[in-house]
Amino acid sequence: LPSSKFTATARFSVASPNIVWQAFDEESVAINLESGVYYSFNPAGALIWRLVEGGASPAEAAALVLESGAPPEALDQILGFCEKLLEESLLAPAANGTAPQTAPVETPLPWAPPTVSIYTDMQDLFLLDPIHDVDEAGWPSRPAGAA
Amino acid sequence: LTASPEQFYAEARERFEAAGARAGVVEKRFRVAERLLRLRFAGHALEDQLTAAIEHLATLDGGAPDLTVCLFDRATTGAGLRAGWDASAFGPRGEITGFNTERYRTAFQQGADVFLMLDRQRSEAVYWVADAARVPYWERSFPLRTAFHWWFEDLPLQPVHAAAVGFAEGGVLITGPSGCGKSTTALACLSSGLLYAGDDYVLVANAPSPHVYCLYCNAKLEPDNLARFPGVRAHVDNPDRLDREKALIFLRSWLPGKLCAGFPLRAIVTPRVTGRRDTSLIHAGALEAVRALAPTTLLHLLGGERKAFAKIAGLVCQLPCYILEVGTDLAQIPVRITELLR
Repeated sequence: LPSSKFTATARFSVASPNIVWQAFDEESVAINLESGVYYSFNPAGALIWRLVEGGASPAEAAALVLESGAPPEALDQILGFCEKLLEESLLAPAANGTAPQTAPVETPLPWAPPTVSIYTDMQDLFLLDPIHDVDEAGWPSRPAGAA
Repeated sequence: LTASPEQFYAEARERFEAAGARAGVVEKRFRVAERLLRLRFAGHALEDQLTAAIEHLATLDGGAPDLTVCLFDRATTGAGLRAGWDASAFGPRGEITGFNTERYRTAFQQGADVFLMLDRQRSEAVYWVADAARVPYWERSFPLRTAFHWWFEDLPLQPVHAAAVGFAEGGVLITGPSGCGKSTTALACLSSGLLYAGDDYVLVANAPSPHVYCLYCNAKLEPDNLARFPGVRAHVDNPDRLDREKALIFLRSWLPGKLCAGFPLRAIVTPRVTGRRDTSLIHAGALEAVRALAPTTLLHLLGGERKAFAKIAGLVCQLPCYILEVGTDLAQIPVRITELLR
């Protein structure tokens, strides 16, 4: 995998229990409940997410997709997509790699590169300051003058 | 930590009983999605704050409740509650580490400053605030939102951040985050034959078939928007605080005949304010509706997010989805929605 930082068997898992996701039709939405950022995956992105989250290394996921009819350039596109998921802290190296999926996959064709759209519009609306201090009864205390 | 969840819950219940002994226990019952909710207030302070929005659900049914919530505050009953945790025990969204188990759900809702703890085994919860007089207007507008979310965790019911309007035989869910036009869309429909089931939080069922229940009998409007709805200003519940609060309007005061218990859902619409005059509906994929409904709901409601997400998915996948391009001529909004439903 010369163009990638991944080894052939590097496995990953969802980076945090605060990340939840759900498939809809062929696409998927993931939400980071801690940061307020949410994501949508196109059909190819949703497939790769499912494979890698399910235990396949990015290279194994790419191999499965190539076997099912995707063009050769899909390899770099998939590895780049996985790097993006790491950058976004959606995935993290798995402590213990699980068995990869070996069943054939149904790749959405004609092939379109996997993409993830990132939405940050919820962040300002929902994120409160972390709780730093508690009062003598143990409840979060507000700075003087706070509403 | 000073106590286990079991010990803490038992102590909170004892504090409630002590508060009730001093201030008197007021019991109110409500019917929510064919289930019976019993609220036990220590004194009247929280009752006054929290029951106005669910008054339309009140019932005299004296049967066994499906959920009981014991509510009290320190300021009017003298019943304090010691947390006994340090700051690090509070998660980023108010969840209390070690106190969310199979049996218990526990959170401190920052902002409203509500401590809420549910004992799933007993179907009973404790709701405590330091001072009932400081309950913010938004908590008055959707009281017990998190309690409902926890209560319905294992049922095909889910509170969602959405509005709903329709006819008795069917209506639409109006989705989107705050500021997207949900309230404007819903309230614009009140000039037509459409009925109102909520503009901020409603309860949806995804089985046996999509349905929406009215949870709260009020509406919230940005003060700048009041002028668009003739006659509403006289019914604003908080007219002296509009410099810092949204206008809170109770439908029983403004348009009592428009409130309905709910209806079957026929479609999901996501408003998009265009600035143009005309309003139109265009087809959208399920993903559009999910993006408008799931993040805003799941980021508001603490715990059980995976189950809630699956319920939202189950709902969205059963319904056609549309973008409602909202124009400045409000009269067109109910026309487009009525055309969709007819």
